[in-house]
Amino acid sequence: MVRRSPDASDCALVCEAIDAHLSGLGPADQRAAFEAHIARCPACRDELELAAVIRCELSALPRLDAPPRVIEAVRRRVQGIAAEPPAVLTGHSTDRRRRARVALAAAAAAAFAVAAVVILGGRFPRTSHHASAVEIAHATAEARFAFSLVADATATANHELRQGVLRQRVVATALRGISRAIVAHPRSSSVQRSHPTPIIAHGGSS
Amino acid sequence: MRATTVLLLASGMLLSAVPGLAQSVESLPGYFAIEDLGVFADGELEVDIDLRGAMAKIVAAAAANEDPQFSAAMEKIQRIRVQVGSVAGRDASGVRAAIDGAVKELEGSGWYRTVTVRDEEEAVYVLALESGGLLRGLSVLVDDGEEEVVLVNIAGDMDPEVIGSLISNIDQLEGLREGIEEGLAQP
Repeated sequence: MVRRSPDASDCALVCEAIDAHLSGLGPADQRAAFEAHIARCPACRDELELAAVIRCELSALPRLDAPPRVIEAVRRRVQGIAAEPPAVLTGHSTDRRRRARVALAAAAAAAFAVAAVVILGGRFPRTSHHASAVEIAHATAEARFAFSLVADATATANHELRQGVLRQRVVATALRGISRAIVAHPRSSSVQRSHPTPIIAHGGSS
Repeated sequence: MRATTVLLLASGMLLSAVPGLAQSVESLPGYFAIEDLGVFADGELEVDIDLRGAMAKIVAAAAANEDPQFSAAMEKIQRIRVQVGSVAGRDASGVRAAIDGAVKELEGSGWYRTVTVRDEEEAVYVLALESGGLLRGLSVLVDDGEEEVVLVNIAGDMDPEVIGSLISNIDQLEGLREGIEEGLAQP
């Protein structure tokens, strides 16, 4: 995979293999070649250190610690999803809308049930201190929906944070690639310096 | 959709009309009248939830065995307001200005932001009001930049740890679900 003399193509291959290396993946001979390249290439060593830091930061984010009933609910959900055509996801906005519609449908069903209770009037025993099971179910769904919206907003922020970290890595990689190119091809250096707007990637979050 | 909205509004009115369940909670420090933002025009509101304290306590009691965490969170809640609607085709800057104005108003009243995501496409704010070690209010304002606006206000005397744990678990479950869906969507 990696040739002995480090050049731009070696570095590109090593950069592509960093994630696999950090995960302990790949044949032993490729790992040995990777480590040999890292030992003699400071730029790739920096890339590896940066990737390790990012991996550490990402792993520090909240991890799943779900109770058994939640795992069981997910398992049931997975079985349900497997029976459906795969959804096309375009991002959090779409997901929020879909969830809102799902909740809307659930709330509508509950609303029908509540309406039925009202229409049927006194056939159902109820005092001023006791709500019916339908009302409680309806209110429970509403409360859970409200909390899920708060969680969704928080998840959006976490998503942006993760994307920001990944973007920083991409930007760092790109800039280092440019610096390598400048060292290898001095003429590129003058072109780069004369360019008023170098490559900039925006984090997108504030 | 309109029929569904009417049903939701009707059910909300019915619930609030139950004797003993309706309370005047507008004076609660954590209460924020999301409807006063005037973001939604007639027919745009798709979800309108108004859950009062008495019903919140009933929900808490009903969930005590099945979901103690959720039950504990609901126990101290005085009011939950949610509005979700579509503003497609509207002046996006007007909606965004209303939300930004609300954020400033809340911050001026002692609320602080716990989440801020703002770019050209979307704005997501989560604000909290704390006093005496308790979470008195939680507000979410979302403009997804395409068509949907979400407004949430939860008022009460909530334990921050209980609420944080509940939200975190929902977040993790949602993250897992998204991962599963994305994995299944792969060819």
